[in-house]
Amino acid sequence: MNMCSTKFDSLIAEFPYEADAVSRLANLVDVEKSTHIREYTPARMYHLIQPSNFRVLIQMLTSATELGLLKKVVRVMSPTSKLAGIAEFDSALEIPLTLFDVRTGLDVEVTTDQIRLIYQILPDRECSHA
Amino acid sequence: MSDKAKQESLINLIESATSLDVVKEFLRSKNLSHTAGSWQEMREARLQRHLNDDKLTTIDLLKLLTGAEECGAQHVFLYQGDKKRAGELIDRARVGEILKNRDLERLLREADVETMPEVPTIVDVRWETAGVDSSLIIKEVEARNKRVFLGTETKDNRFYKIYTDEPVRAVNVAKLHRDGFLEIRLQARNNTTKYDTDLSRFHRQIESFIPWTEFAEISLDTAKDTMWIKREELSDLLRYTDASVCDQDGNVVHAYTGSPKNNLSQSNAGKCVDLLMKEDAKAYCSDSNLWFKKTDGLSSDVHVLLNGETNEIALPAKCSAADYEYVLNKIRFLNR
Repeated sequence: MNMCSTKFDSLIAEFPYEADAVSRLANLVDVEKSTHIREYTPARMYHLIQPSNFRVLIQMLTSATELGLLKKVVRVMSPTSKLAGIAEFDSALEIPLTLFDVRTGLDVEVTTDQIRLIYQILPDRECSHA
Repeated sequence: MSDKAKQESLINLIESATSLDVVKEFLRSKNLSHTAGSWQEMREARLQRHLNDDKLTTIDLLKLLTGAEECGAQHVFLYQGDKKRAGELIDRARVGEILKNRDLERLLREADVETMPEVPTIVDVRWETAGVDSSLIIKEVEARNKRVFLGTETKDNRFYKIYTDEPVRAVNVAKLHRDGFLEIRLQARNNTTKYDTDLSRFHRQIESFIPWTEFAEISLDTAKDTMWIKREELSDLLRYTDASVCDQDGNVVHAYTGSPKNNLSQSNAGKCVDLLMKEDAKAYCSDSNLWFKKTDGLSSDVHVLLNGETNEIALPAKCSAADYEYVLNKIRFLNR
């Protein structure tokens, strides 16, 4: 049994009624499929792994992040081109009031509308080599 | 509140919630004289006179207001619950008991007319019925502040942006269908796209009627993909102004029209978006900004944004109840 499957066993133990969703998450996280970083919004995760509801999804993603299966990124989007990120942080608390927008070359004030939560799957995670 | 005062309040609310044309159409449908060049004329020469002549009632005004303020200019969140449980939740005896416990039993007889309540207040609880009750509707009114930019000022080497908060009346609606489908409609704000706080507060407000933890969010990703991929087939129904496709690396291709009146659907810019979807089977349509076109089923164009939460549909402008139902049903159909 490798480290990765042990971690997913631990997720199934934590969410016994979500075994199918955990299994779909395991399939998604399977790093053999990719050699580079892949990323998903919580909304996309919800669509792909189909947990019972969104509250459970956030709990699952939080646990998966703590287990090192995912990495959580708080991304600030450009106010001009709203789909383009301009900075990334581990936590929303670290975001300054203003940022340099690399997409436009301007200093911009950060609002909550510009903040997006992203979950990343890293190719060099511990479980991929276990 | 006297009946006269209630009618006066209702007419004021109708004036702020809708257009003269909608009121004219409403009066025309009742075979009443309906021409009016201004709101003052509509109020005095039409509505008041028809009320005085008993050709129009307070209930009629309530129905007109309901149609005018409950659809459009909203962010709508869709959920699915258990069908059998939904049947229990919309049961009249159960709802009546909750209303009694919350001292709101009067709403079973008639909706309240609240203009600007001090706290968010449930003003209407009613059922749609077709032989059996097909849905339960709960309506809330809240007084919100709308932040309006006034200008700038420089003082002591500091630059100030000045805003004022203007009170506005907001209407939020929950509609639970007998089959377990739940719509939460929140009135749109003018200065944010995030509704988590409003949603949590409204969920708490209606918790005793509709325990929201029993419902799951409906992902609209399938509808977004289907509508974009089949846009040619659906060209009589849809006009796109923006579309974004995202891949697993987080790269985005976003196409939009120069003019908001143009159509992206058949453009080469739109075909560039297609390319990513063709090249990458896991790419998906992440954001859509589109118009449901006036057709046999719609009285006017309806603008729709699908770029928020997984289960969120935004309708930036007011629309009729019939148009709202049409658009909602189309999106649900395309989400299968």
